[in-house]
Amino acid sequence: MNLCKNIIIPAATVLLLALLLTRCDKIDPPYLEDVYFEPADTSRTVLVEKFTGHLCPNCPEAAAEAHQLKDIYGHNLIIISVHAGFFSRTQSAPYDSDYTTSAGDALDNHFGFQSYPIGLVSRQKPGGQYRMNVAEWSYYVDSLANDPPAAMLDLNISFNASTRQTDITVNGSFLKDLPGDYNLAIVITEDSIISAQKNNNPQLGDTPDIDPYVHLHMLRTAVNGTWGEHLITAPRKDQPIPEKTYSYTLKDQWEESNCMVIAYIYRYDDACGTELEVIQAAQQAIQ
Amino acid sequence: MQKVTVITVLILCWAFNPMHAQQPGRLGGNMEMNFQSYSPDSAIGADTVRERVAIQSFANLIYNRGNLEVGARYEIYGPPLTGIDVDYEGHGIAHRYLTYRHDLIELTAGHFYEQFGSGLTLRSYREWALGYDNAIDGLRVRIKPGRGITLTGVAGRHRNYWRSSPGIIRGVDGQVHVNRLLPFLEESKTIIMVGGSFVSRFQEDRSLIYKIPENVGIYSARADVIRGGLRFSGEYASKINDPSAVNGFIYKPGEAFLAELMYTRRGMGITLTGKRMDNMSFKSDYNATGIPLEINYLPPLSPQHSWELANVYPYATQPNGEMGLLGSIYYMFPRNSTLGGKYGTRLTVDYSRIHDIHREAPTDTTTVGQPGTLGYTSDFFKTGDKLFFRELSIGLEKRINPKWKVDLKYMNTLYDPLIKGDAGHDLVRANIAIAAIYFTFMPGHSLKAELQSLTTDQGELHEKDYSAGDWAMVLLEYNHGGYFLNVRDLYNHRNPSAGIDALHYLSFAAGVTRGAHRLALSWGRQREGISCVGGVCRPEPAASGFGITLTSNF
Repeated sequence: MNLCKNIIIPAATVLLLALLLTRCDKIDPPYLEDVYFEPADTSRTVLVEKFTGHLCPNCPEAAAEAHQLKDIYGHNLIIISVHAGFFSRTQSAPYDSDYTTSAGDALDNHFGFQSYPIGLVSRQKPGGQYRMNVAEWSYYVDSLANDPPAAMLDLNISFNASTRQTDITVNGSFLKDLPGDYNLAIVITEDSIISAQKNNNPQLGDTPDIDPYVHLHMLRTAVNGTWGEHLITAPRKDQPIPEKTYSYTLKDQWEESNCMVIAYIYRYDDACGTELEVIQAAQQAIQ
Repeated sequence: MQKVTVITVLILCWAFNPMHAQQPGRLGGNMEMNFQSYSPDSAIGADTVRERVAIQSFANLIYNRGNLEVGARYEIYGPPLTGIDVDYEGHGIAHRYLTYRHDLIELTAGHFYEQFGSGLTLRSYREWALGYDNAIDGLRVRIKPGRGITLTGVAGRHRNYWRSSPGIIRGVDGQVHVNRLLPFLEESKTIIMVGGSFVSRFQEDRSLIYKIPENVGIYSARADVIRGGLRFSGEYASKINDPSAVNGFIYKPGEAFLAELMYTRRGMGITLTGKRMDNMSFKSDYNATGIPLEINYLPPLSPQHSWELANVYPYATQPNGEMGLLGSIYYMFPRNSTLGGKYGTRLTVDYSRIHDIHREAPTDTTTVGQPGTLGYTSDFFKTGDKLFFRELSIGLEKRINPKWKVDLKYMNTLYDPLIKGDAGHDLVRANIAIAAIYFTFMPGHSLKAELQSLTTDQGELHEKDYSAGDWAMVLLEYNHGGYFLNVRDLYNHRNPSAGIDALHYLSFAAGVTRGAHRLALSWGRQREGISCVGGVCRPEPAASGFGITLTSNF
């Protein structure tokens, strides 16, 4: 009896282990999915706000991931690189350029990010939190890009090269009945800023510094404030978006041919800012 | 959270039900409260903290009656101290459980902590100072089906701040005390214990880019052999493909080997530990980075120090690969010998050396660590070119007479900043010398003086590193009847970072211990650095302000 107890039970345990072993999923090459995206006639454009800094050694990986997604989703994905927080501090050369903005600082403080890189994907809040690790972006970008859009957003830009004045007109229409309040935010980003960037990944460039590094999608300013301005309450299907116009004079050090204007409409829960989902976004080059 | 609260209330109602009054139980617990105010102090890199003050606290309540135990822990972070993840902000019942114990079986429902073997396959634990808690919320069964046999099964999800991990953890462990199982070995002087475990994680494949295995398993086998003062323990673990944010989405299986040989006799002990870890991070969320949600635990292979300047360059376990050795010797020179003197002298020597593992590109067309590939191949017995860490430390503890005692320590450390995530920097060579003098000048009254020095050979740094350069520290502490009072000056007298001048980090602390209760007050500057416990590390931002810590057991 003791023998049974002492032999059979351990044997059963080994069997249990073996059974559990068979449940593992062995993946054979190729390890990459065949990814493609076919936009519908009217698609939702996804906004990825990537929080970064030139002193953040893991941020080039996030930039590479964002570009991989941009290659797949094209116009249906807009990226804003927000330089803010600890990793965006200025230091001695080559890290003496200040890429922070008051809007970026305000967003960083609002969302309470501590570790970089981190991002927001159309300010979705799965599981109750806004922050998304880099590896999570693709799932949410894909699911949102395949969502039917709640609004159509048209963005028209007129640029005066002599005065550098940029006139922005936003209009469009809602495609669904929606509850709550909505804000419209307009920001300007700039591509191809050459500067140094900390890097920990030898796959992506020199370590510890990639110099020169090409910074893309850098947030330069929020034209109508960090949180934009109130647009509409409880819009109905087919209701036009109230036309909005803005003028902004580009700073001299910004290269206009690398600048983009981005407009996005998002739910704005004025009570405590708990619902901030971006329902539609659009971007247009200044030149 | 509402559901959790209801369950907890039901359990507590049951526990305190007067119908059970004839079976009196026992209520116990403990609590800790940490308060810190923050003043902006640009000289030391202490940023403005919006809330100005932070407070975090917990209280554990445990009630035992007969075979049953119920427990709950309330936590509040409003907000957490700087350095602790802000995702903890909030309050509520973070931990609750019910345990039934019998001779043959133990059953726990709710949150629990568990470790299989040395933790290579599973370890859930809590480290308040790190802000680390990966308790499993689920079910645990432990059975003892025969003499010397213990089987443990677990299933559940990790605590993930105030949420649960996306991955489900399932695991079994078996431990056999061979001498108890086999009667003919019962009287043997050689004690043998063997064990094995298997743990798997299920998480939905939500990657658009990579083919993610939804069921990832890790198994291990281990043995402990003890004879007299000699002990050998070893464990080998292997993990199947587990592409994750930590390993850069590579598909190479992981493996780990840990072995320790120890010899002890009166007045002497020798320990030799070796380990090799290859791609062994295993989390309950393949997207997670940083310290949360670790299913397994990779023990550190560097000596743990309590001295301030000995922790400026702490070693953090490198989950993607490391191999090394740690040798430790202590010897007590006997009393009334030439070196032992009247009270004996204790000598400790530790030597630790940790390398990267060897890596080669798996094919001609891919590079080492390329995402979406096998990643690399590695020769088990070959070290990589990179030396992460090397440390020699020699310590001497000597009581001179009933009033005077001296601790001396010297450390020579070589440290690759890659350990804390800064790739491509020069190795830091540090020399650390420490002297602590204890003086009891009348019964119940004692003084302690600590003198510490750290020098490095770092050249000029472009970025600001408030931990870099040469340091000195003086601490004076007075103790009497459970009260203590100390003053400390930590002096960064040379910092090679551009823009950082010599800096004093002056602080004062006072406190009292009464039975199981301790109150400590502090005021001053805290340097920026890294805080580590057991090879798990988090950044510790600079701070300046007033602090209160209260701990209590009841």
